[in-house]
Amino acid sequence: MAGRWVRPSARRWLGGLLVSVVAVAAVSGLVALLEPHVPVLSLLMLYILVVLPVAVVWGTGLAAVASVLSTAAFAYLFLTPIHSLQITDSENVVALGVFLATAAVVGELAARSRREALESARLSEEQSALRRVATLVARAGPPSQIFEAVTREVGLLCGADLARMERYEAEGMVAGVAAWSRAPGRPAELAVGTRLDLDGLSIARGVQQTGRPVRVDSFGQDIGAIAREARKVGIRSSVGCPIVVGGRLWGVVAASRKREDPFPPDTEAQIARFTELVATAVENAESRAELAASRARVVAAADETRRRLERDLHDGAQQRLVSLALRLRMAAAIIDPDLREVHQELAGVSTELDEVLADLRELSRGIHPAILTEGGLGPALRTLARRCMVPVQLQVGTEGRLPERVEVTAYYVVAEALTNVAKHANASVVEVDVDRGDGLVRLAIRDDGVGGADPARGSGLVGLKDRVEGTGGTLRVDSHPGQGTSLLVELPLDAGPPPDTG
Amino acid sequence: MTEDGLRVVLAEDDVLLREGLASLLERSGFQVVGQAGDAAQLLALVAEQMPEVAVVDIRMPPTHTAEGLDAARQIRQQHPETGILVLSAHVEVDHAMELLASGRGVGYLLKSRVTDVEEFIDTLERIAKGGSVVDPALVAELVAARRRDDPLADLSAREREVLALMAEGRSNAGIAHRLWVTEGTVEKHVRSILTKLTLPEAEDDHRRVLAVLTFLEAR
Repeated sequence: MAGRWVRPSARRWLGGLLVSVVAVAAVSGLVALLEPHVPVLSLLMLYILVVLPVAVVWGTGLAAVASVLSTAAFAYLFLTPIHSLQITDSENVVALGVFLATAAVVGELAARSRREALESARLSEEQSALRRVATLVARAGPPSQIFEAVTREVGLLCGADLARMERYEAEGMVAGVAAWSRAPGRPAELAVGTRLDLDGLSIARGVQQTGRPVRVDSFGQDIGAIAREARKVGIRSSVGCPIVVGGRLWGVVAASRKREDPFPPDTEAQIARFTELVATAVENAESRAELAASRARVVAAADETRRRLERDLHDGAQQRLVSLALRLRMAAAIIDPDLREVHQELAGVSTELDEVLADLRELSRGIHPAILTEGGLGPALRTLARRCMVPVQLQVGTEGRLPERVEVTAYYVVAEALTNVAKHANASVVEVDVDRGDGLVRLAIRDDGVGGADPARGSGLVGLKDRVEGTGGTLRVDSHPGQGTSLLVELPLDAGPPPDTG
Repeated sequence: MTEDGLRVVLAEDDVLLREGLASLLERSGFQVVGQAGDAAQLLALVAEQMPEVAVVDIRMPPTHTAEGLDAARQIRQQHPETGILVLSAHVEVDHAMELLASGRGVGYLLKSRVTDVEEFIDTLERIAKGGSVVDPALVAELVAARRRDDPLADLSAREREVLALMAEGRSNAGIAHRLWVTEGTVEKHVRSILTKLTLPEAEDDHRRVLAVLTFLEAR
């Protein structure tokens, strides 16, 4: 696991020391073997074989110790006087000095290269994490998914024990939206959905007050709700960064540790890279929700207009025409019956008035069927079924009234679908099924006609799709040539698009 | 002894139309004993005046949806002997069924139907006598509905005519009058229709119209 480069602990040192001693012994053995054949000083360099691995694995400090050990061992075992650390020959001093210097340089280079490799691995891991989150954001999945992913990645990358993401709410409260814990199987503390007061010491309050990354090294004896939670869980130190959406402070991401050692200094910068992605995700979700709400408003406004039109027609033009027709009849009643031509004329006008009234009734029904408002979906669909030129088998499985938006949409879907069937399908029967379940109303309109309906070509179907999607529903057309057409629509019962903008 | 005309109460919120209707009724020999602009007024007038028929617009204040139907229901409960004629700009099958189910002496007509004065008078008289009246446009919609394996396909053209008139609530005599045939001929047609559609003989015209309409709606 390429986690954060951790400073060597006491155990590691001891382990490194042990290895150094063993290595020195081993190399000394090797030197002893070769000594008869080669000038002994040239074998001093063999101890680099100790220094290099120790530098790579345990770092510069232990490498230095290893160098000194090697030098001492060599001097003791192979330099005259043997079995004594005394160095008399100036040539030996120079040789040992050169060895130490070389060991230092080589050790440092090895350690540095190891550090850089680790750093590079860490960066690459961070990049992968960022890319994973960015992909989720691009796929426009539910924000909660992104929040969880970011919280987990931040926790892992920072070497934290706990990580959480919170959203600021009104009245000095903060709500958890995602949490991650290193210990597997245990539910993450400070769980999602809990709301806490921002009183007292906490990352959330610090970030809210300063608008900048904040670090808390101890929750001490603070009495605030969050501080108490933190102590209960065993958190020692935390680092948090703000999430800024559209210029306003939306929430905070925080990583916490139970260990003594604090987070490295660049932790804030690391977390900040992720908060940018979160902000993008939240903005996207909010845009989509706004767009959907706007579409729904447009549809609702249009429907409202139609209802008003129908009412005005009824109360205005239709009523007046009936009154006029009455007056005409009464005028005819007053006139001398012998005036045949006048009576004929009046009768003719009366007839035409009747026809105009009949036309107005049809027109009005097309604008908005009064029965839908008065009686609901059942009666309105039954009327549609009766008037359709193709026999309709209607099953309405919903009882009682539904939300108005749903009834209106369902009505227009069925009306348009039946019109299409009558016009194009050459069908012998249409089945219309309406039922309700899982918070949805489902419509299925199936005919046994010629099939081959294409939403891209018929403007009627496209308009339907807009209307259905404007209320947050879905529309699907299955139409293969020769196999009839099925129109399947699902309409959500509760208002509008899902409020999961986080 | 001259008989005073039938006593009628009118409920219609459009003033012009209400006055036109009142004139028409008076001119035709009815007594308009009260005019109301909303359901509350209507109920008060019916209680006070005990008319033989109440003519009610289905759409009235405050919501202008189906106040007339609610008022009709209440009149039915409180004054079952009062006939009710409901007028509407659109005729809806469900409203008709609801009204008919509430008892005899009830009618449901298109508002524009009032301009055919003779028919209108005939309608009111039928209702006052306890008959039931359904607007021909509504019946036509029911009869014209397309059905697979339509049972109506077994009827002759004449029988379909008779069926429609039965559905409008007319008696055999009334049907005979409209079709210019004898009552006996009508009775023959009626029996044939009832057999072909497996409908029971009804004891009176009201039950008959209910049975026929129910059949037409459900087929």
